[in-house]
Amino acid sequence: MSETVRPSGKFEYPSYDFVPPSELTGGKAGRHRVVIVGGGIAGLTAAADLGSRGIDCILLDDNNTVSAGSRSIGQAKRSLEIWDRIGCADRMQAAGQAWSVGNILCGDEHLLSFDLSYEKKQKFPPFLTLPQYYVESFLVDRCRDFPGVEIRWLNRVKNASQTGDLVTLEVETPDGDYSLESEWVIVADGVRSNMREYLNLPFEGGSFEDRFVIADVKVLFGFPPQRMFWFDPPFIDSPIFLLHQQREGIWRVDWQLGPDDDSESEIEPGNANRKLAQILGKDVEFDIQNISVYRFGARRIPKFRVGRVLFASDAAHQLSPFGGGRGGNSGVQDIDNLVWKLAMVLDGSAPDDFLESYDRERIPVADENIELSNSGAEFITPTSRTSKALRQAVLTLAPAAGFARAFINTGRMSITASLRSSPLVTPDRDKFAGKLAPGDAPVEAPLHDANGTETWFVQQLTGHFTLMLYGDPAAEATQSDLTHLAKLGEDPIPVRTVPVAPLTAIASGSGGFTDHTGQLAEIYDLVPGSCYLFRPDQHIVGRWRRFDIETVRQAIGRSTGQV
Amino acid sequence: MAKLDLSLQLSAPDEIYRALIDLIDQVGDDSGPGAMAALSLTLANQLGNDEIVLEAIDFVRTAYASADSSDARPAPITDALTAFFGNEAGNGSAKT
Repeated sequence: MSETVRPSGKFEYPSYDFVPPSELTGGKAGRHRVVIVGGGIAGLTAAADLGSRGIDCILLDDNNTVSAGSRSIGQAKRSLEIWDRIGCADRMQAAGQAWSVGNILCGDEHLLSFDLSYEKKQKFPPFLTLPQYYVESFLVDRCRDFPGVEIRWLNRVKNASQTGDLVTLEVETPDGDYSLESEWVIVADGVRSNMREYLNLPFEGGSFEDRFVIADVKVLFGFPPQRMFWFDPPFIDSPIFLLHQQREGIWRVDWQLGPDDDSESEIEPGNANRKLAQILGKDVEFDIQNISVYRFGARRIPKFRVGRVLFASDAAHQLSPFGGGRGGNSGVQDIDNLVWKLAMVLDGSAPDDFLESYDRERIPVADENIELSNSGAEFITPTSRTSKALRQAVLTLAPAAGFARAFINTGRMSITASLRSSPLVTPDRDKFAGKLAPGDAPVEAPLHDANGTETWFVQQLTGHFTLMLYGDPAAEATQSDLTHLAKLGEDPIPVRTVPVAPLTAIASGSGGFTDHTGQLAEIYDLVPGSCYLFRPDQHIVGRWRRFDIETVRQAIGRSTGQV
Repeated sequence: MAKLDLSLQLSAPDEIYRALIDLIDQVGDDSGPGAMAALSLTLANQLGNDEIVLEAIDFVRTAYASADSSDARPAPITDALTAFFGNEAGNGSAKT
């Protein structure tokens, strides 16, 4: 992909200092517990997550700034919840542009709209448009809050090998080369991962021949921040056009090149300006912030855990950009799934093989994402004449036929992966109504804390095993449960307790929370005595109508690979 | 009297679309249109309702007849956005 990059809007690319590593200044080979290769969204999320858990790590990045150009902009709600747990989502929310409505047109014809907004109150929007460079810069800042996190800029890994219990990395820097050893290495060095090459792990899957122009353009439209997707757009000779508003008057535009178009020529400044002037209208002033041409693949490596090397995000799987924001967001969920498990292995709470569950849980998710993004790509860029005719039939019938609109697929938007089939999950023994099930990520609900201040439920799931117990704090049964629950806090794998009182009870003074809107009880189908156990990555381990300490201990054993 | 139901009746339209694409891939692009025609006949027979099948044929004929095939334009995106959102949304030209 070639790329012309300039600073976007008000964002100024930071220039992080190269600091000679101790291996060079001290002259000895370093040995570490965790090294992360790659300082993109996933790598930085891993560093901040490890730091938040008090685990030292070193992140190696071959650059000295954040990602430039037209990278990811759609940050999904689940990613925001994960970053909230790590402690940096508020800045992202303040800097981003929330959106929930998307519109799909064919020529001038409006085919359908979708609205991802919630029926119930939520802390974060379904999607936040926030360019990757902002996300990464906030994550770098967050990493700086943790003394045990060391980011080494301008440190390029030039070879890697693993023997026994150690991974050895050969690293190149402006001050010379050095080697370091690590017990575990998290690889998040992107689609063109060098680490994948060093360890001889080629992608398996397909790639698409179609090429697309992607650009961020500053133009001060006053139109609402809605996702606009055109088939056969009336303003450009391209099969598709995507328009997405960011903050600061910047719009992401995306269109498909024809088979005879020359990639380099299309993004040459003079040609790009002429094309954008044609699209936007001759009286509209605009400024191209960055522009590039890309192709995409939909593929993954066979295993994400290779000995002591753990691949994540684009280094492990590549998706079509028409996957509804599944690329970057699934990478964040990879890290969310991985880091708590690695933390348990590092402190001896779980065996090394527990990390196999990272493969078992995330590879099916990657496969589902690849299939879904392939389906979106096939609809947007049909790969045969008949497929194109089928797509055209859908678009032709869609204005008059509701059933046809259901086939329109411009990328099914990213949703949180469920782990219902994971062996780490404890299946229901008791009956619960509603959409949730063990293995699911939590669903948000507002709560009042003990002072009556509004807070959020998911925010209380702070990266530990957590048991939410629902009941009136004045009731004898609740008090008995809480007494027993206190014992779980002293177990080798401690459990935090989040007591929540029904809206009819008053939790004030109890140290607990009140479900003052009844939203939590409705979503989780709670009655007094119900309890939910959550993993450190906030997914539901199991749930019961009555708390029983041994049942909870068994569920924890199962979810840490010890049963 | 129209009996043709144009609301969605399928529970998993994405899976059906994927299966159609798989069919096209399997028979090959040259045979794809024929396979789609064969599928139409098979489904029409399965439906077993001549009146509905004829209504469906008429519906498709009308949809294709009214499909816009003009080569007029291009008009700028601001026109398309203004038409979609209305004038109040603001399509003023921009200052960088």
